[in-house]
Amino acid sequence: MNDHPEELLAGYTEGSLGADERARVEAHLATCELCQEEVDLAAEGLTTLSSLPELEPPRGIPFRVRRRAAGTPSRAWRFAGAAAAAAVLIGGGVFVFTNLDPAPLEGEGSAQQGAEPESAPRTGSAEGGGAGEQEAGVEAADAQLTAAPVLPIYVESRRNYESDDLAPLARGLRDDANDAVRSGLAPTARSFFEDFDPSAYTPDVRRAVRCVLADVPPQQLIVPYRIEAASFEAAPAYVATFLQGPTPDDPYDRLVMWVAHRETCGLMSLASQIL
Amino acid sequence: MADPSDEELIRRHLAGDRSAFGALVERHQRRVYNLTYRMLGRPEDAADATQDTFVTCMRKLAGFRGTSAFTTWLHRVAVNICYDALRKRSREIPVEEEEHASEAAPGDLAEESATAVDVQRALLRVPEEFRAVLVLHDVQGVPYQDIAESLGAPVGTVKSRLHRGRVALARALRGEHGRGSHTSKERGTS
Repeated sequence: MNDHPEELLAGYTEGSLGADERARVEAHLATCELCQEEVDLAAEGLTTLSSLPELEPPRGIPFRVRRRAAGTPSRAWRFAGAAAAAAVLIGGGVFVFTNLDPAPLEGEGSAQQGAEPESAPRTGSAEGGGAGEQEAGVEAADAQLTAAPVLPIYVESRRNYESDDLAPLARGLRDDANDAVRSGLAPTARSFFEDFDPSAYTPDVRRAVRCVLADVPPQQLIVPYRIEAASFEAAPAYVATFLQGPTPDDPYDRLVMWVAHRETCGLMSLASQIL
Repeated sequence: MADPSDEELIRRHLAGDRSAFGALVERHQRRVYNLTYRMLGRPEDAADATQDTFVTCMRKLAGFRGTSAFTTWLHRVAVNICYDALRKRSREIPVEEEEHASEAAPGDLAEESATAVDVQRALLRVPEEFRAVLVLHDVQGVPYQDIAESLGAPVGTVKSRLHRGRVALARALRGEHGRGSHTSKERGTS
């Protein structure tokens, strides 16, 4: 018996077949115990599933845009509070500082490694186009976007960054960050922190944030945007990206990157990019 | 005035209307949360997957061509994110432990009745490709054709998976460990 009308059995179970198809299935069932048993089981399965209740999403799921949709200011993107200074980074263009050396190593146009901004912000996982881990740029890292509260976006990757990679990464993330602001991210650090909820973070994210900000004096509010647990110059590192405005009450005007050693939390490199 | 359609909200979002995407999320987050919860079985994972779904949608919206309904596309993104999460989970925790872990954490399921908890546990024993179809069709009432589009599979395959999934679920509820249906097994060996 290898002529089971399998594609019709679902419809038969839910009573949606036309008369001809139903007759065909019934004729088969009269001679096939296996299918008869399965149809009984399937009916049981269907009844059970139909009884499942619809659940209320927990509060605090993404963006919390309901308030925004209702016309109140967005508290959408959240972050476990962090106050940090980045005064050393004030300046134009992209600068990369390695090992806390304050001299700019790369100008905006000179760093060539990594993805171009236009191709950078993609999650490869969602439509079956997962990017390989060896692929350069943000694309590979974002393909491994792990579950985390919306900000910071927390990514685990096997990528090893060199100091030259930071400027292209920052440029790639710029478009992403601008998109986030356009789509409901609280526009200033102050408004962002008015409603942060530290309890929403997974232990990994919490540790990463603490580590990245370990040595930063709390002089100015900056908004953690993305943290990638990766390697920097072959050492385990957090590559962290923040949004910063001239003051906590001004719209963000730049994106700053901090690289911290994952174990010692010591700062390894910095970069900045105008939004 | 009628609520704007999904397509209208997308158009507004792409034109820079900052409230439009929020309205889309508000409209669909319950559906996405329930889908991801039934696929993953843990509230916190479902919340994360829901969030990832909307973050991904936001990023990709410019590439949404509107050849299918937004919800069809949304389901595809959500199901793929669930598959990724399940793959990641399977690398981290052996399946046996995983099952014990979910049974040892009734607090996670506090919102649901005892029966619903049993059903959810059984659902997690159904192979994920069948599970996706079961959740979309039997729990959420999505038509075959839309599921086929979301999953990129022929309608006939969706119907087969639905049948096999129902059978597998009933067996899991009875404590049997058979996967799929007799018909599929028989076909597979002939």
